[in-house]
Amino acid sequence: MLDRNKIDPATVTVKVDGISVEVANGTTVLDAIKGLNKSVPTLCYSDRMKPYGACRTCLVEVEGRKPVAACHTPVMDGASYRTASPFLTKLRRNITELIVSDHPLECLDCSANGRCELQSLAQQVGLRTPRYESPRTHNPPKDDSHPFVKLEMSKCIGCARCVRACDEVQGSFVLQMSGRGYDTKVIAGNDTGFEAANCVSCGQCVFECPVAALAEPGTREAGLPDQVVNTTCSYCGVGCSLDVKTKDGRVVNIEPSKRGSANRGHTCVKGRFAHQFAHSDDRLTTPLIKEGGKFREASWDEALDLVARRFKEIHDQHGPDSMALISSSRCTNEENYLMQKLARAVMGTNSIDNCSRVCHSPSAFALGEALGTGAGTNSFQDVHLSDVLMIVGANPTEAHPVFGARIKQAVLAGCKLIVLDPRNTELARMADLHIPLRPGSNVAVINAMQHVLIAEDLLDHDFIARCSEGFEEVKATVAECTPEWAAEIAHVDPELIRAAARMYAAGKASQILWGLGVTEAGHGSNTAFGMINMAVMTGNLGRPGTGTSPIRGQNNVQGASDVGALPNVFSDYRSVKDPVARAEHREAWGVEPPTNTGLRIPDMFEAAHEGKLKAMYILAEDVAQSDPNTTFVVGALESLDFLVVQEIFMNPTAELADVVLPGTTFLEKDGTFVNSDRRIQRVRRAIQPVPGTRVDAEIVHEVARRMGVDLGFAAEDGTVDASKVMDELARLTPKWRGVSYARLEAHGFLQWPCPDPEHPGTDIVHRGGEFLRGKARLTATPWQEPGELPDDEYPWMLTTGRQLFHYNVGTMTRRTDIVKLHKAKEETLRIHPGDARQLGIHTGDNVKVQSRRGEVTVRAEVTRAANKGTVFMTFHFPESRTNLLIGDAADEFTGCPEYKVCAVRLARVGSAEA
Amino acid sequence: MAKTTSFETERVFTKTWSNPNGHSLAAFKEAGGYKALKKALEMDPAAITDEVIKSKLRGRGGAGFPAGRKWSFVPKTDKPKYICVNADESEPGTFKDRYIMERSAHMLIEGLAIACRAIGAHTAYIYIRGEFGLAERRMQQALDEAYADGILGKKLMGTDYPLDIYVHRGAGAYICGEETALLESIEGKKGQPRLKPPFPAVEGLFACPTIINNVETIAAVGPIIDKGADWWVNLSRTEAEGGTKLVGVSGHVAKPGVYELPNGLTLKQVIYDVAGGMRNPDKPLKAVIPGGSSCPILLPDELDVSFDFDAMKTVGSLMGTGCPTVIEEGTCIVRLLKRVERFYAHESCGQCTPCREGGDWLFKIISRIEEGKGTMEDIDKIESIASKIEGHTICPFGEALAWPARSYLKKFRHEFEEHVTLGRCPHGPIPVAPLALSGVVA
Ligand SMILES: Cc1cc2nc3c(=O)[nH]c(=O)nc-3n(C[C@H](O)[C@H](O)[C@H](O)COP(=O)(O)O)c2cc1C
Ligand code: SF4
Ligand code: SF4
Ligand code: SF4
Ligand code: SF4
Ligand code: FES
Repeated sequence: MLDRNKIDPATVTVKVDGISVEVANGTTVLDAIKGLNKSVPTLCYSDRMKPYGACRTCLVEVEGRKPVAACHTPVMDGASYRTASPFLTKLRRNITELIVSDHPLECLDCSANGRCELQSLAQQVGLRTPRYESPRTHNPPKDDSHPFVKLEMSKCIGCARCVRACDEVQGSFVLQMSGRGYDTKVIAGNDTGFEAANCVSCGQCVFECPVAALAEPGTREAGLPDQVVNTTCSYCGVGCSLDVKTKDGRVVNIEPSKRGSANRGHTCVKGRFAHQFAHSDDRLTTPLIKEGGKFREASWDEALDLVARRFKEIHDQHGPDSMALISSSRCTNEENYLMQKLARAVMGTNSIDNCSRVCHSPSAFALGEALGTGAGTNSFQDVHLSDVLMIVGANPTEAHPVFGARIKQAVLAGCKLIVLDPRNTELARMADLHIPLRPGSNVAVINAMQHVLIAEDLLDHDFIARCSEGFEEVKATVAECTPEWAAEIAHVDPELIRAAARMYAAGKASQILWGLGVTEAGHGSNTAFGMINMAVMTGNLGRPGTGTSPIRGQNNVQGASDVGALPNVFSDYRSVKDPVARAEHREAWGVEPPTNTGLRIPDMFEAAHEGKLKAMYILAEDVAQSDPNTTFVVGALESLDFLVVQEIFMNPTAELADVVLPGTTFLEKDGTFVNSDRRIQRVRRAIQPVPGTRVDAEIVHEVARRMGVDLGFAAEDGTVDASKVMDELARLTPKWRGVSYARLEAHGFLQWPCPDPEHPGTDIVHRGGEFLRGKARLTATPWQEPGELPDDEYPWMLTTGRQLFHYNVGTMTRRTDIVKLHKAKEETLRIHPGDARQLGIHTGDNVKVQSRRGEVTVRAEVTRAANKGTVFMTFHFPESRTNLLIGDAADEFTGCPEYKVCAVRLARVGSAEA
Repeated sequence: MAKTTSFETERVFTKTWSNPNGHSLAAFKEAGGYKALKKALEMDPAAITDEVIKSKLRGRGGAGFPAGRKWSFVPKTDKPKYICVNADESEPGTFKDRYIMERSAHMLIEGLAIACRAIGAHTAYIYIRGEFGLAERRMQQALDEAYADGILGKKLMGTDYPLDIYVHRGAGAYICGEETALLESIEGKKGQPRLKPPFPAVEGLFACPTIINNVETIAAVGPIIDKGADWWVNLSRTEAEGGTKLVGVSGHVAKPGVYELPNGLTLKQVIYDVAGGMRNPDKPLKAVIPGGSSCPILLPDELDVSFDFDAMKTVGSLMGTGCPTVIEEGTCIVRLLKRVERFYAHESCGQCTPCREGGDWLFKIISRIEEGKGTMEDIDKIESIASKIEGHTICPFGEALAWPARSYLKKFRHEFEEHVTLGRCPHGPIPVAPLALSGVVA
């Protein structure tokens, strides 16, 4: 990122090729040139990084002075620059010649052929054969150890773009220029290879390399792509904009889009490299019908007719509430909208839910109740404007890597960082203050921080008086919550809590971000309420760099809820009982929507066990594997009369289905996702649906049609026009009324609220303390123990989470070359060295992990990333079945399960050699 | 030890050099040391800078920038400010700073403390070339003495002004003498020059205002404050700059060594009257590199010029570090250039294309010519490459590569052509150097 903060507001006037321009003082000559739509050659420059000045191909003439490098030289008042002249062409040609003199001339055999910046520069300056006969002195061996990054130093031109990308964009500091002069080369770590240097495989270095010194495997064989399609990543809630390059109908590679508003030309390993799953051989490519306990292949007509017939029968026989739908936060807004329309308008039930239940429902609930909108208040770019960041129960550098990288850059640039997390995450290690609290004690610590704010009068009294209500109640509730009291519960130093509260209050713009460690750790809503209280009490809302925002897990978990795939609300979180919303929906749909609140996901399983629920339609959610208390879920699904599962791969949930419908991946469909900061972005079809599969929206539409209702968006051939779905959705969603595909094409993205077609969208909600609900509500949050506590029998705390290289249960990532990365190979139990010593456990040993509900065996990884007393596992590896261990305690307001808190006992059952 | 000459001047830098213990705190104090610091601490900081401006003290690291003016660029901010003394002295042919550190370490400390006071710095670094073992030991010894004596530390000479001085050793890269590479090196990074602007006086060490001065520049500050700018100006015989100068003469002269001379002697006087003329009467003077190996070469008829920053430019060369290298007839200029360019090609930091690639090609092509394998086109390539390097690089190292090549070629082109036409070096094979090591000459 360019540091343009220091620019003197004054402007200066310069001439470029005789044209006068006024530019801000401090502007580089290159930017002044670009401002006039002119250009000069550049090689080492990239607008994502600070100028480096290495290649010297951007030299321009300055009247009366020596030439200067345009990319890094600030304009000088009154100067006159020339971007082209015979002298400059010759100079640039000679410099290019020097670069080429040390470069193998094997263009035809090179993966960069046709997209190489050196090749086009040589053409531009008219360089043919270099005058220096090149006995290629540099021919070091290639490094092919990395599955995604091939290193061929004989082609390196020493521009250091890779090094700077790793430092300034990714923030991993893996690469460096080693050696001196002519022998300068790029090394990873201490020339010890990528893996040992903690490369996170984001691919940014490859993306920046202007030649093929760093290259992505496969691109050489494929040649140039025949199509580039811009779309949005389907892995996490960052919402990276991707350019998908295809050839002959297959994906060649995926690169970050330089225009992406959320990612600014950056991606993580998943979005960039984990795409082979779309072409995987084991995709489901035909509908399956279960007969006599076994699946048989069926035609689409047969399968869809069966689904429609059985749904109708069950509906007629047992009533609408004998049916329930689970929609998918992996799917588009349009598909989620269709699912809830199917539930409400066709089946007549509100029993529709999506997996935000198992992640961020407490966030949406608390934000909605306290401030008036169920989403984060500020935007990603705000981290660069904060001077204090407080991150609670989130590990963004692994779970939301591109946003995590931006947080790191902000911290490296001087922003203070407070981390509340039981684990020694990467950000915890960078933090000014790390509170390693015990899992389940969030509310205690947040209450104590509020206590300190009040006791030490670190409040914004004016903001509290003008913009909030409920202060006295909160004051009374936290009066007893001293840091000493919380320290007992959380097992931390009370002074840390005090220092953190003071640091938060001292910021001119302090921002709180949180993750699943809040919402899945029991009493998540109360933790969120408490953090919102802190922001309100210190006036840290409604301004750049402030706010309270959850970092949302899956790509479209925000959107699935926004568009109404929830049992109690329509889109825009309008209650199913709200008369205005009901009237609007009645008019649009031509039917009376149901009024009773539907079943939430945990209630659905409950109802199935009780025999009240007979049929379910599950879209792209592997609940049998990713929900807590796996045994209970499987039992529920088995007890249904009829289960339909729509999936791209066979999985444990689909195994239980009566009918399996083969859906498509995001690469094969059109639609939109909403990312974690309310950014609505387009998903565009890059490849045709794999033969035999159908786009999910079409399938839903077709089920409705065969049940006798035309949802109204399909053409003759059954294809669904996603933009028409958006039009209806926008009409029924007050905060989305300004959204349309035409506007998304023009702007790239829109952040809701966007209430009318003139509205530019909202980067910061509640500006100026004008809360969407009127006044902000301060909410008292009395302390309660988590549902699960360690005791003598189960003395250790287990907490779960994500790991960088995988996504959820690994359905997609494990079908890609990501598994070639050492760190991505198998599940481990991460345990602190002190604890490991006490139990006689070494890295690689098999350890039996036993909770009050079940047991699993995994290999141990002894690491300081775990804190004493708390062990950690992910849920990416189905065979290790982490979820067998988890309990069914849940948030009192939203039913969000306590994934993060589980008492276990540990025993070594085999040594490393076994 | 400095030699006495007919150009006897008041000794400033070399005052205590005849005393074997002259480097000790006691000897320094006895000679009036640390009086200037005491005086400076009673002065208004701005007045110190003014006095230095008045003295016409110019930077002695090579570029001759007026020291006081540089100090005046330090912005008034709350940020910490730093001074870094450039003691990397690595330019071939240059030897003067090491003697100051070995023999007058306290003089450097006193000048540094005064300079820190002038710009408001509380921390200073002395960046010493890695190979300078004795200089480093003496410098550290002197600092220890100064701390123990209560001169440095929390209370600079008993005042409320804290000052810490650290020695930082280089690791053998010439480029770390370039001021911004030096800063990178102190910050613990790979020593390579930074883009400018921002200039170090505004954004230097740890992104704070920083002054970088040469050892000799800083060492001169004490005497200037002690005896006044007028006294310093009067020591010199040229308008270009004040004071005396340490001049290290090397090469084929009868009496090589370090001399303290008044500024403003001619180069001819330095070579013939101070350094005793040519060592071998049969081999007259062929050329002079006036101030370190990067400076353009001069012919015998170009030496009747005042050896100062301004006058040297009139003959197309530079004063540089003020340490001339004298070359006798019979020396192969092509071989000399090859040796010089080998050094620079090896020392390029490798950041920018012209220097990284151009330096290596220059060396390869010149080597080829020297070995008798070159062509006439090769000779043109030297000029073509060097002219693309000069003025087009990140740091002035590019000039250090280009100037020798361009000036040797301009003045001795016939020798290059002779190598090509003969197909060998007219001076025969490279002689094996005699093993006898001469001791320290001074
Ligand atoms: C390649 C290069 C090497 C340099 N080496 C030295 C050095 O060894 N010692 C030194 O004092 N200055 C050296 N300089 C000059 C410094 O960059 C800087 O100008 C000087 O230290 C400023 O001090 P002064 O103003 O007191 O001379 C070098 C400059 C360049 C470009
Ligand atoms: S892949 Fe990413 S982390 Fe790895 S070296 Fe390249 S830029 Fe750095
Ligand atoms: S590997 Fe590529 S990006 Fe890195 S320095 Fe070499 S040419 Fe530049
Ligand atoms: S997984 Fe998240 S961070 Fe990674 S590329 Fe996709 S959206 Fe970006
Ligand atoms: S001119 Fe040479 S030494 Fe200076 S920055 Fe460029 S490569 Fe490095
Ligand atoms: S683009 Fe300016 S120096 Fe490389």
